[in-house]
Amino acid sequence: MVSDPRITAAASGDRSAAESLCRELLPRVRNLVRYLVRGDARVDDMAQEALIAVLRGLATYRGEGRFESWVDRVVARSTFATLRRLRAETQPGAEDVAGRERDPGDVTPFEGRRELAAALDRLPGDQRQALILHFSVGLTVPEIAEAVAAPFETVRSRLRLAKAALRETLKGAA
Amino acid sequence: MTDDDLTRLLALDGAPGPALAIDVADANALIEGALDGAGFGPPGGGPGHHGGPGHGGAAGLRGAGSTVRGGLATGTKLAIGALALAVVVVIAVLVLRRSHGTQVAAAPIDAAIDAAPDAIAASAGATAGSADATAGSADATAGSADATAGSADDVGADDDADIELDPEPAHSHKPRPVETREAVDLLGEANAKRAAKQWRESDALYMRAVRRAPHSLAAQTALVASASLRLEHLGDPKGAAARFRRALAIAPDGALAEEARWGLAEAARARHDNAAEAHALDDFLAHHAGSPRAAQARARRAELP
Repeated sequence: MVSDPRITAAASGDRSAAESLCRELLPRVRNLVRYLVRGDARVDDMAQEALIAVLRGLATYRGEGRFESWVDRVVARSTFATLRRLRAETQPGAEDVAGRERDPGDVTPFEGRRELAAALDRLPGDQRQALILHFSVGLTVPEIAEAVAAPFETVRSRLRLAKAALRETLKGAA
Repeated sequence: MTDDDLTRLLALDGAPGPALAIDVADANALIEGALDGAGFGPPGGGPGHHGGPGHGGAAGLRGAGSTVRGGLATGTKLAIGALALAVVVVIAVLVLRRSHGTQVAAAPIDAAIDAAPDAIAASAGATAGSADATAGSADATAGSADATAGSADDVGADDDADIELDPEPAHSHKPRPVETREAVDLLGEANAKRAAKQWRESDALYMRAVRRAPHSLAAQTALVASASLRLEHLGDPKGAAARFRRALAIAPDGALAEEARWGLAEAARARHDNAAEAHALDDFLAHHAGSPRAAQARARRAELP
């Protein structure tokens, strides 16, 4: 059962409902994309691709599980597809950070997340994706294995290595 | 650091970070592009998704536009066609100026479309000259244009509701060369889609080019081109007006300023908003009194209250 009437309306072609959903989802979608990809340069393009995938897939959402969780999975799939198409990740985002304005009221949590993303940028792509799929999107190891088309043990190894590397990086930064 | 710590640290929400802040205009453009890319019809156009009445890409959209087309005055059709062609010809002039260092009246339209990205890449950041010389040739060929206009549903809406103007002046942002190159690449892709009559796909690419280098000449060109699509093919004069305004804000005295001001008048006319059209025509005549369109603008202005 789909609880939010905007989802049903948007799936039926209601642009206003779809726009309302997009406005609500955009920050989350952009954050997830940034966690998944290295650097900031392509985040908005990929977020737009992901939103298109979400909108096109709305009719397939049956109300099983939280809508946001369903969206996260669609966004992750879309982002992986885009990455495969590009065949390369973008440049580290350090210079982008310096060039943008930040809301002074959000500096501390914002900077914390930026540091986390910078630490993720230093991980190999497959480890990073396993980590985000597990801890942000909430996929289990078998689900990740299916999503990235890798053996179960490989994914488990990637997760272990990613956690160790991230802990080391964050410890060094502290 | 435990797994619980990681779960907490990496939890997803809509709070700021790790994605960089995005301004309202860029967010609006991103969402609008996503809606268009997913096949939703224009604002106020009713359901149009996945097989709905307004869905189905170019064919569906052209069908929707044709219901309005028949009610338009011939003058409006000609003017809208002139607008579209003038944009193309301005681009052609930029190309030819670069190649020959002299002013050339016109070039084959197909060649101009193909060459536009190179021209913009070469002249990015520079102020281009007057577009007056190009307007006459556009007027002369306007009769062959396949022009449509927007839906009356948009009448009374705020032109700037969906795209907010960036308060920062254009010269305060110097796009990095890589961004400009990417914008130019996208412009080329958009032109190809447009040539293939894939209006929505083309429009989405134009807006992506705008996001890539928001204050560049490429962005101004993309905005005017997107606005023309909105006006001619997508039945969205409100969106067209918003884009013309934003293009004007990038370079109020630039090569496309005349097109943008003229487009604002046409968008207002398509919405049957006499007051806005009169204001736009006054503004056009104040800035482009020597334009070949000036006589047409004065005549139309005299018809308005």
